Amino acid sequence: MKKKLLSFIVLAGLIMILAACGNDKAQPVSINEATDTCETCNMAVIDNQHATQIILENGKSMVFDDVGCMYEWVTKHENEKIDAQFVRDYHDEEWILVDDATYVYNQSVKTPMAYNVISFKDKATAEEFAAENEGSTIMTANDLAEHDWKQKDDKANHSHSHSDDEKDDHSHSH
Amino acid sequence: MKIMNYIMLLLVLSFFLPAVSEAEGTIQSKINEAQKGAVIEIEEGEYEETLVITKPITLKGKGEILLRSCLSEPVVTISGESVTLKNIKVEHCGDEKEATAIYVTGSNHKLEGIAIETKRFGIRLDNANGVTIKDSEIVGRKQGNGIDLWKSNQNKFENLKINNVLDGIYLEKSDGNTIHRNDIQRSRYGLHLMFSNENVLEENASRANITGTMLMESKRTVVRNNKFLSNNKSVNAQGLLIYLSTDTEVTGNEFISNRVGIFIEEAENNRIDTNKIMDNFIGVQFKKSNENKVIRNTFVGNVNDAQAIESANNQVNGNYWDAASKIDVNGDGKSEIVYSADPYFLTLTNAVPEYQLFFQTPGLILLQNILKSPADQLLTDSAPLMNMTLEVEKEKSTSFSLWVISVVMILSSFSLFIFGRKRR
Repeated sequence: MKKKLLSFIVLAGLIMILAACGNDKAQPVSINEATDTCETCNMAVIDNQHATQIILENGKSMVFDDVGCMYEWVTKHENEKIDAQFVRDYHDEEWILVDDATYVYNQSVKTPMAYNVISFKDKATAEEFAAENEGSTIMTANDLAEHDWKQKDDKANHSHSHSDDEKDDHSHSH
Repeated sequence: MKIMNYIMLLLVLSFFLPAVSEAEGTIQSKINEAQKGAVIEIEEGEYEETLVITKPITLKGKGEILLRSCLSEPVVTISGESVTLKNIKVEHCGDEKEATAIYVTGSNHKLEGIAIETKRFGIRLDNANGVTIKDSEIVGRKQGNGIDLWKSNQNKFENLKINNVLDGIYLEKSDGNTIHRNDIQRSRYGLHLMFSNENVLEENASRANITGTMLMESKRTVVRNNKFLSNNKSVNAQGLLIYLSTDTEVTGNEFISNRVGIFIEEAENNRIDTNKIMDNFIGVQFKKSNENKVIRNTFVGNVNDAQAIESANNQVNGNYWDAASKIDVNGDGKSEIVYSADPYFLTLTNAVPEYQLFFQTPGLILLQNILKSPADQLLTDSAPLMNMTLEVEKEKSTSFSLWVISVVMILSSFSLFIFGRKRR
């Protein structure tokens, strides 16, 4: 039984490697601080650990200054064909595929658009960061898809309504 | 003999060194000894020292004072209440990511006549309220913000000159601040507001930055009588950007020679009233923005006056457009011909930016006329004004110098003919 499973995994691995060889995998494009702006929020993208990007199937690459902005874009453009999505390692800023990364959500971590999510290339360093910083939640790419992408601070609410709740929101923020 | 001289010099120098380091300790020790409300005067000179002030005292420079430090902590750290800092030059030479010249927390402090040179941040306000900073100067290296606010309310910034930083004044989650008569140049963003409400930006000048002022997810901002000039050096440059912000009041400002004068994206209920929008590539640009008012503005000499994408429900009325054909039949000062801006070109270049190369080519204008955008996508002023709402002084100097150059060139080319022949 165990042997069967093992050989299956090896075979599956081999097939995946072969499949990978066949395709031209999308490569992340480096950030140009002078001209790159976030596709969602228009802010200049700084070449740091918070930058993310999407490569479309037509080869077009888009950069974002915050992983939250990338998810905003994805939810608003469901019909676009995405080839690959990249985030960066919090420590060494290496580009990693969205699905390969481990994320930490912590409201006291400052990110450019206050979505408070950072990414790590391996789970161990993410766990290490979470252990050192109180209030951290470890997340996977799947969790992110479910994540409620709101800038959590009371003043940072994203709602467009001009109803009374907005005023209430303001009054208890003082 | 020479060596002897050298040694003597070293000896003399070594005499001075301990004296300097002794002086270093003195300001902080004076601060430590001072009673509440004391005024400490610092003698002229250079001090390699970091200061921590936690009680209400006044620190005043007499003559030229330079406080300098390359350590990771700020040169001056202020906390508590009512600290006053006057006539001091501060230099932070450290290059760590968070390096800051002056760090401020607490309330009711006053900083006046401060000159800052920094590699990263100039002044940081962290949970600081009622602080006044005025008549000061900040020069950076484009690696940190000039003034950086985090959860700091009711502060006042007046008559500051900020140069070559990331963002001139950056506000995050900070409300009710007044930014008055500041001059910000050659930086990334002049003023940058994020998640900050009820701030007043008045009579500032923001020039030659990537973006003059950025309002992001901020409410009830007042932008009055500012100048946004020549923010045009970047492909993403603009005078004022309003993103996801509501109830902004933009009145009496000048937007001159920017790439885009005012860019409004996903923003509602903002009012752009009586501004001068002149010599920009695009005057006003809307993207996915509705329920905004653009009234009584003067649009002169813009390459494109206005463009709108997915922004049908804005009230654009009673502006002066120099590009519009105008006829006033009933003498009410308003033209009977509706003026509309077609977003065709912008929609096209949005998908493929390279099409900007074809801008104003005859083919494209023809295409635009054939493939007219649907009426609900047009930005239309139903009653354009016959006369400007503001005075516009057209520069004569450029055409004058053009004349002079032409005359000189004609004369010199003639002289070539005449003298060239005679010599033979």
